[in-house]
Amino acid sequence: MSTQVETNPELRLPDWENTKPISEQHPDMDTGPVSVDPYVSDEFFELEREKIFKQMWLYAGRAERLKKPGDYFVVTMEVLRTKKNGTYPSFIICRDDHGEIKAFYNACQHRGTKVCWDETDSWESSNRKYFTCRFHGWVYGHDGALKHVPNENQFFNLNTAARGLKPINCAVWKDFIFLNAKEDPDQTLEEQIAPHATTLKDFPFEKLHKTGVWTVTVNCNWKVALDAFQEGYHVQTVHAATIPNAFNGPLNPNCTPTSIGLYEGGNRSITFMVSPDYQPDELERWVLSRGNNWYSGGDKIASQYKGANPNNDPFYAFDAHGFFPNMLVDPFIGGYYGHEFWPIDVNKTRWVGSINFTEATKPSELLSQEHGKILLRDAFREDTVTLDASQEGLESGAVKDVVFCDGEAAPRHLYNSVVDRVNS
Amino acid sequence: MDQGQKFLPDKFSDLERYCPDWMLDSEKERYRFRVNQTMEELDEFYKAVFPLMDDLAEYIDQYEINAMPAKAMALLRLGQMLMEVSPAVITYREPDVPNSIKFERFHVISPADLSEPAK
Repeated sequence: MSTQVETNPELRLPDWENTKPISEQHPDMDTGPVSVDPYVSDEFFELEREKIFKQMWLYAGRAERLKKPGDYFVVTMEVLRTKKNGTYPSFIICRDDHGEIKAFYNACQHRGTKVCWDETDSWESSNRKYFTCRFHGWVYGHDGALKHVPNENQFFNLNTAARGLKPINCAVWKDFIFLNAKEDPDQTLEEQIAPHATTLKDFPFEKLHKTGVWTVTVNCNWKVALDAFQEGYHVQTVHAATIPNAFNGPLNPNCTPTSIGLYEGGNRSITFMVSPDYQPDELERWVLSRGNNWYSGGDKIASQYKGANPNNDPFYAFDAHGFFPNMLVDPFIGGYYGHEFWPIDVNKTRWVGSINFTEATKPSELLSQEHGKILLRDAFREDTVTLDASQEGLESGAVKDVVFCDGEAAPRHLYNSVVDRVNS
Repeated sequence: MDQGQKFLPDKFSDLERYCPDWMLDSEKERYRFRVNQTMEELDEFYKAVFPLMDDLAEYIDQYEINAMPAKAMALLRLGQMLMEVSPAVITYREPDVPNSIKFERFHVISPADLSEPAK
């Protein structure tokens, strides 16, 4: 049986003989073992919270959830708690009456009580005319201003103008909403995500909406969880059941990225290829006859997804862009998927994964999208099972250091970037 | 004797036996349902539905996506259930994903796909 490459000689192969190893492309990157300490130390985790998470733009959600004024949702960010063993702060993100997206600490300025008690582990949004605290009925507007205090004249020199909901810095890039807890952030959002803002400036994120969303709280460090999704070395073992052939093949058996960009400050970008010898099953062929899935079949519509496959690699499957610190955005032709990794403790992380497609224009498109959604979701079931086990071994005392191979440059880059920030 | 409710157009009467149990509205429900079936039941469902997929797609595409009548909605849900069961049937041959995190730990919080559930 001839392979796709044999029957289509015009297809380029990645130039493996002449492609330098990643470590040669980045000669100032070290290659030795790295200490396990940043994955297991309580002290290091506290330093990450102070020096990284409390000072940087953190992804909070998508603007599609806020269609009209008064639409809002609540996010909990455990990592921003003010004390090591403190309670978790939450934030109200709201579309105000001028159509702008604003964010506030979810705490009444009377006696501190949480104002919106909405379930945050959900993708639904709500709408309220006002935000009313259910303890004593203080009322806030969509702009956070304190509108009404029951029994106001019983207070002493109450300055209502100064007691609106406390804002938190909020910025939006291509419908991705970010918050920054630092009063005066060191960088603008666009500065912090600069390489990605350049690569993806024309990618149609605004046309894409959440189709599948899944979440698991795993008992591992947030970097351990993130690393599981930014290398291809694990694919042949972890995904032996769900995706046995699509990415591994004779040409690239270890699923090495075809391109990798490692940026100062922690951002990184990887591109993955699909195996040219992959033979889709009959149902996948049915799906591909009507459209594309998230790793193949998108040639006809590739021009609508500018920014995908930034280096024009052959046999393109998808990209993985690491938005430092804790987010992955994975464009493909037809949509994007992605991950959030919310540190709770040094060995506990809330993972959220999702896949996003364009709005289906006809009912059968829902079927094609469902196929891709289920396949990805089941692969995430496989990815997440390694995580608790990783942390157990890392904390056991058995390993003083870990080793990364050339194809695991993204985990090494994340590690180095975090250590650099913590030590700065 | 009352024939009972027909969920599907006559052309798909072979699939009537899967209604209403298999025509679930949400990914969360379909996932939970699938992992609780036997491999034999999943195989039988796949064998019954897959050959009709072209006809099914043609039928549901007659309608606007947010204005589908009940019979079209039922077909859509059965088509989505086919997608839900297919990796188990075609690839890994077990009702639930082998070597994976416990089903109960993995929370599906996907939004609803349409405004109107199948009646």
